[in-house]
Amino acid sequence: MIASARASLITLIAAPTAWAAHFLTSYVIAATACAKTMADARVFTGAAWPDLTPARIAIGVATLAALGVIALSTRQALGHWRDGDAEPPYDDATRDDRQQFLGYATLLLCGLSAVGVVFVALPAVFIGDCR
Amino acid sequence: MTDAALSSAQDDPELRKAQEERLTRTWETPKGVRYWSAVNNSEVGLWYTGTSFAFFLFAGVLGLMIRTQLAVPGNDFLSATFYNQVFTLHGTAMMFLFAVPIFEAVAILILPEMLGARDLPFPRLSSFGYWCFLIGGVFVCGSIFFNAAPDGGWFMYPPLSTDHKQTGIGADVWLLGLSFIEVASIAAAVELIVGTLKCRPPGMRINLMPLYAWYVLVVAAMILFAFPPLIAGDILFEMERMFDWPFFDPARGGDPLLWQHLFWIFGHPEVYIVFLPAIALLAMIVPTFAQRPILGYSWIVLAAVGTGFLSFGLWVHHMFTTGLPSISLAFFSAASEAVAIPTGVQIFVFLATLLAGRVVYSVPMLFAIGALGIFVFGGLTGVMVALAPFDWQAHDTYFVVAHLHYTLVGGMFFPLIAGVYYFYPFVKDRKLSDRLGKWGFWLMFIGFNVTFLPMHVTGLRGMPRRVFTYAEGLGFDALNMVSTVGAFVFAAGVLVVTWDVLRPKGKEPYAPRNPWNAGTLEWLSENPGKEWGVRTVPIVSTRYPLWQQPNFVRDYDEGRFYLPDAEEGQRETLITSVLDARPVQCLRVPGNSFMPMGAAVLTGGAFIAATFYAWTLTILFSIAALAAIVTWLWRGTAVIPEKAEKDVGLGLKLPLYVSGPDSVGWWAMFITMIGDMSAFASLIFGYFFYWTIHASGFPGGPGAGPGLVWPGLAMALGAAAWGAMLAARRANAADRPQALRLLLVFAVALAAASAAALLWGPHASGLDPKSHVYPATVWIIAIWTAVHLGVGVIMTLYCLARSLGGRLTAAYDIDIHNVALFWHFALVTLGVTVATLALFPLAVR
Repeated sequence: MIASARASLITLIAAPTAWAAHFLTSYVIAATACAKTMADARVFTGAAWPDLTPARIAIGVATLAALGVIALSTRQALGHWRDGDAEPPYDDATRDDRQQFLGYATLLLCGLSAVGVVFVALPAVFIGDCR
Repeated sequence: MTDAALSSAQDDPELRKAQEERLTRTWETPKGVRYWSAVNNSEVGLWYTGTSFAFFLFAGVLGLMIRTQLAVPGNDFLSATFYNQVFTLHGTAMMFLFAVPIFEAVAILILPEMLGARDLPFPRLSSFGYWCFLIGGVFVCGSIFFNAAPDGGWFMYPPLSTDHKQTGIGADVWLLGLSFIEVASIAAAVELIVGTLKCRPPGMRINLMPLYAWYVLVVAAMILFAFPPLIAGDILFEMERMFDWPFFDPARGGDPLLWQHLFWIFGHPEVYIVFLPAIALLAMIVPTFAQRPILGYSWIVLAAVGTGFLSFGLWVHHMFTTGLPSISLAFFSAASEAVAIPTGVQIFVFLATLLAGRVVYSVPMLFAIGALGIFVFGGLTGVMVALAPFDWQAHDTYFVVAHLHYTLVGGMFFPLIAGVYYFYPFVKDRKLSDRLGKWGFWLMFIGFNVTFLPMHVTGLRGMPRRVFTYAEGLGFDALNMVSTVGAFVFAAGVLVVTWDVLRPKGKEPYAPRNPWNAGTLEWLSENPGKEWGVRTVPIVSTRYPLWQQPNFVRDYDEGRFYLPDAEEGQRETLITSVLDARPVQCLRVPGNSFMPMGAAVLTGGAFIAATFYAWTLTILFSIAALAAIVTWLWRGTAVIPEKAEKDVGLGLKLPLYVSGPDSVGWWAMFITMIGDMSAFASLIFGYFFYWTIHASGFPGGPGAGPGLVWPGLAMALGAAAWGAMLAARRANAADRPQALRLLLVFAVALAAASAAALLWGPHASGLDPKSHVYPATVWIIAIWTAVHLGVGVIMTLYCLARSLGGRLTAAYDIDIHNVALFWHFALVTLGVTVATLALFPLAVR
């Protein structure tokens, strides 16, 4: 998919798919970690809140992985965007216009997805336990 | 394309006249009672739009009843219990019977002609969807006249709604009536995705597609991932209500929060499923009235696709007060803030286009600008409630009511009315009144703000939503009265617009062709309109052909492009490739039939009988519905044409019959199965959700699960069935019908044995689904998979019958390709089922 020389609807959604995978992974890691460590009546026992450090590290790794996929998609999108002689706004009925339009739209989605991944990773930076 | 390259055969006016007569006859709308057998997009789209608007008016009256009850403190206009039904049905009908269906309705109505197609690829499926929607909608809405409407709020939270003492049959009406309608929504999504990808006119590469089509594609794909979780939730919910399986009962290991998750995994994307198609209308209206191409086409694509994804990361922001850990809330809070980026991009693109163009002021523009104003306001309060600490204060107050009405009315209702004024001449040949439109707009705009702006304050002062009355002197009195007055002003505006749409216009002149001087293909339509959809399937080389391609309208009118004729009296349209819209097939679409209506009535009968727990009737209706659908498929699909190829004009010959990934049927199966997999994934999510919340007892202790033997046997038999199916496909390709039939029989036997083994596992280990959520979950996943194997058996038997009936041969093999595709998905379902039910317990023990 990432290696494709031809831009398509699949290459278009590579970055947001990475965002979705990252989002789901982060949520599942944190939710499972908290659910599995939280004693039932913790609120009443006054025990310490379960620590999230391993989960936060895992989320950090997932974040790097997602940003890596987005970087690859960006590199590919740049290739597609430069692959031809069409002019913006890419509204002619040629192969180059189609290719460069998809490349450009992919690039925009890479930007949005990168911002989205960073947004979603931030809670793991600031929140250290399951409170 | 130069004129010389276009068809010169079309120079003969006599020929053109004969062609037009043949096209008219072929696409004629039937008269009398047979009118209701029409399946063409222009009829079905119109009925669909009209019906969903009627549900809107009905739900609007319920809204007025709510406002009347709340006008003064201590009011007794409605009783508390009836008030519960009224607000539940108001929300339910607005969301399920108006906001989502009207997207499908409008898309079915305008998309084909926007793409220069004569119809969408599965007109009978659209028709089936419409009748399902009508039956389900009338059933759900009608319940209130029998004091039997759902009354647990539009999101039906358990344990309130699972409790038979608290809620009556209304909850079943909601669950089954709406599940039935969701089936129709998924059918429409399949139709629209295949339509957008495969029915574009030659030359309309993906970079030239109208923005509306981009939005339709994104929204239909979202439906595939958003609606199935709710269907899965509905199944769990009904199993609890009907058979006491404790999915949401904490006393037996269940958890009401799972419903909230499944509901909002559907419910939040749904907001965008409602919003994006309406914004799509603006994306068509704004360039027309700015009289220039949209500025930032790629940015709109970014916004549509980006919103489509991000909107799936928001669901928990409806659950901020459920006590989830802060870190979980924060993920959803972050995504909720991030989604403001693509949403904002669209607004800026529209503003930039308007600034760069010369704006023609008109009623559609008035509604469009009003929409942007209201929506931006609602978006900003959305950013506020996306912050968990603020939401803790505002949750379940009138602040949220105000916020959601600002986003939905600004983001969906006003753009829709802009679309009504804009597309009315396209649909009904005449323009609506400017004067009534302006009256309607100002009444609605003022009425809306007078109703909902004060509600922010009412909410911040602490008035909870859904209370049927309130005490005097809490600071709510004046605000509520103002809101009620505003609601009636708003309703007056709606009435003005409704009158404008419905009033007889027989004496008024027809609108001129392309009355707004728009640039996209749907405005090729003439007034009065022709029933053939498009005169000829045009060759497109620009985003706005009517503006940018010289002599385009003349060439079109003279039929100088593809398919200018219906020589064989068959309804035909072109199928093109996904990215570059190269013509690949001349598709014969099925004509008018009562079959879809009949199938919908029978399917509806099964759902309605189940509501009353009338099991014999349910089974009888289900069998009859299955028979109707099989008859419909047998007679109307994969029809073998009288010749292999057809000259579609301009010297191009295209096949009439293609199979496998080239055929629209294969795509429809693929897309349907994606939706099916997301429902299955939701059940699996349920399994792991229960696992996370249970310190022990889920999965049950040793010997408590279905064991390894029976699930393992089911897996082996299922894999063998899949292998037999693939071998059958190969035998068919090699033109060995006896081997094909033998292998199909093997596949049927193996699949049936696999389903039996899968169900025998939990039965043999004595799992009682009523005792605890663990056995209930095991059973529900096993049943889901066994049902899929059963469907595979029916499909395989269908292939066998087609082969025996001479309708499945080496050359004409659509059915076996599609069924083999189903089997791939069935095998994945079985594999995940066995891994979850049999292997996972070993891994965690």
